[in-house]
Amino acid sequence: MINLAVFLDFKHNKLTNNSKSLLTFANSLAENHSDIHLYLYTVQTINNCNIPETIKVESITSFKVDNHIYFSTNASLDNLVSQLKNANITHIFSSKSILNDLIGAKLSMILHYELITNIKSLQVEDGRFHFSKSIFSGKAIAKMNGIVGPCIAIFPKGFTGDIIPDDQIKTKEIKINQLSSTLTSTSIIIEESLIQGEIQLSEAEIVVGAGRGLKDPQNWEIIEKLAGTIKAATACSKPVSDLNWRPHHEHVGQTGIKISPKLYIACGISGAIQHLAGVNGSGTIVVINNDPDAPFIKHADYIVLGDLFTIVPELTKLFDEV
Amino acid sequence: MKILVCISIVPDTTSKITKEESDNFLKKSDLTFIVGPYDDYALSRAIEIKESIENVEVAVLHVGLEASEPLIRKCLALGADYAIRINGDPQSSIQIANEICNYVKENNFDLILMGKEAIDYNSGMIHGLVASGLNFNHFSPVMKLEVKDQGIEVQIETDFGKSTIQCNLPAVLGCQEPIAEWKIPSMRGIMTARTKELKVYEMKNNESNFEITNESVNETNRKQILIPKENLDLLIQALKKDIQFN
Ligand SMILES: Cc1cc2nc3c(=O)[nH]c(=O)nc-3n(C[C@H](O)[C@H](O)[C@H](O)COP(=O)(O)OP(=O)(O)OC[C@H]3O[C@@H](n4cnc5c(N)ncnc54)[C@H](O)[C@@H]3O)c2cc1C
Ligand SMILES: Nc1ncnc2c1ncn2[C@@H]1O[C@H](COP(=O)(O)O)[C@@H](O)[C@H]1O
Repeated sequence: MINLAVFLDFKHNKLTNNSKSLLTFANSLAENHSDIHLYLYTVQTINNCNIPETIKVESITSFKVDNHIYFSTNASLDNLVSQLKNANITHIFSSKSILNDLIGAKLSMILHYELITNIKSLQVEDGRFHFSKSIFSGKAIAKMNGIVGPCIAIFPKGFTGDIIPDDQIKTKEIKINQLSSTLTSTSIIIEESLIQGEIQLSEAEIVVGAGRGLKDPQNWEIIEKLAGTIKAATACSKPVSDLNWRPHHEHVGQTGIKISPKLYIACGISGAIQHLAGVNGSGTIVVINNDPDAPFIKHADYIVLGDLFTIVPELTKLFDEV
Repeated sequence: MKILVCISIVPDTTSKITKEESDNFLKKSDLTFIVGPYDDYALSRAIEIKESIENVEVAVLHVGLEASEPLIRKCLALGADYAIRINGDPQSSIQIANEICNYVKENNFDLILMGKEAIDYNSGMIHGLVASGLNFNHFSPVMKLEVKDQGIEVQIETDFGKSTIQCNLPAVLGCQEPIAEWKIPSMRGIMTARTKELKVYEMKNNESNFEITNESVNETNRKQILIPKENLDLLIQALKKDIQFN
């Protein structure tokens, strides 16, 4: 018997796209294997919970936390741990986020469950989960033996690909079982700054990235306009954030964020291997560069050769007309 | 204050990954190995702290095979005081974390610095596992670190933004830039590294649930279509077809 708990993420009380696709995936596993039972959990505070009607689960356990969860100790999870034990949960799925990584690591150590990350694919055979992982920053794939026994699996963003738009699926409201955390933390928050309005890079379906080819931080206006027009998040290369032209949280690559949007448009970025390491999970890649020998060209689906200062504004205009 | 920096030894990103036709595994002999770039940030910050306040001792720890020793020596050349290698070939994050926990339990450290993630398996989990195993404070990813009033002040990234937090020690941190500038070993550092101590212990737990049975190179073939800059509408049409644009 596999009791599979899917940890769902919400944003403004709505299921995130990553959670929706993970839930759909877990549900199909449960439908195809009669020994898999599905349970829903969340570590976010929610007022109501709507899930696709096709998912045959009638309630969700909400473990109420606030921002302190980012730095509270193991003891804060006591209630959650005993709930998971009582429900006999053997497998946990969640999608990658800073919070889910923290909770996954803690639970894995407390419950002695195996921990699997960066999952590329998953099959269930003979009651075992067989995983493939993406390794070396996406350059290679490793297949693993079937895991015997309980595990916690953390799926990268966009794991199962296509997301069905909200207006095309019927949803139902399910019951919430509230569970609270006993916060134990000696840390004090001195300052908090929240990302507001802008689309979060790691969640974004479209990303516009820009590099040293922009020449000056003032010139980011054209990048922001393009991003605004196509509802994209903005990203940058490492030297750009090192120069303080752009904030560090925008830097993608081997030492920055790894992104896997449906579309990545790279403007004035040479495509050094360390940059590619962060973006090669993207669906479609467009490269705008005036150097036909830029390494990025070999890793692009569409290439526009020329001056980004004329191409980017023109592209923005054309998208605006669509 | 005792600081422990845990380092991963990983293939350099620029090395080309290949595989023999007949073999199930990637060719390791062609790869160049480096200290994980995030771990380099962690080590650099530890050394900056050592250089700026008194009574700080920095140790470097790696769980892995003897082949890693030249890279561990490089960390000593950068300014770490001594190093520990726990000998073995770990298969999972949990195994590595347990080895680190065991060592820390016997040797008491105030601050454990790691990289945000190792760039081989990109898990970013070991610092969380170690913190959980030791019940220490834990933050990741940490972008700024200052030692203040017996404790530390860190700037961290959360899923919603950034926070600056004051916390007590002991703590485990997963570091990322811009926490410090990468350092290059000095000639003197290289000379003194030879005489610094590198202790070797055996891994206590060699069993793992985990086994990689096959590795392959991931080749995403990109379309490589050139769009004339005069005809950008062709790009828009193509994108509309590839991804449902709304
Ligand atoms: C260990 C290590 C880790 C690293 N990690 C990362 C990382 O995580 N992320 C990262 O991005 N980098 C990383 N780097 C740095 C990386 O190697 C490159 O130096 C960096 O990505 C280059 O940034 P860039 O493409 O913006 O700049 P450049 O290489 O200077 O490229 C600028 C590009 O803009 C083009 N250009 C200039 N003017 C125009 C114009 N008018 N119109 C169109 N195109 C124009 C040029 O042809 C050129 O291709 C790392 C390096 C090391 C050693
Ligand atoms: N074999 C190892 N020995 C010691 N520390 C390690 C080892 N592997 C990873 N680490 C540390 O754990 C961090 C996170 O690694 P990971 O969870 O594997 O992504 C790395 O940045 C290192 O600081």
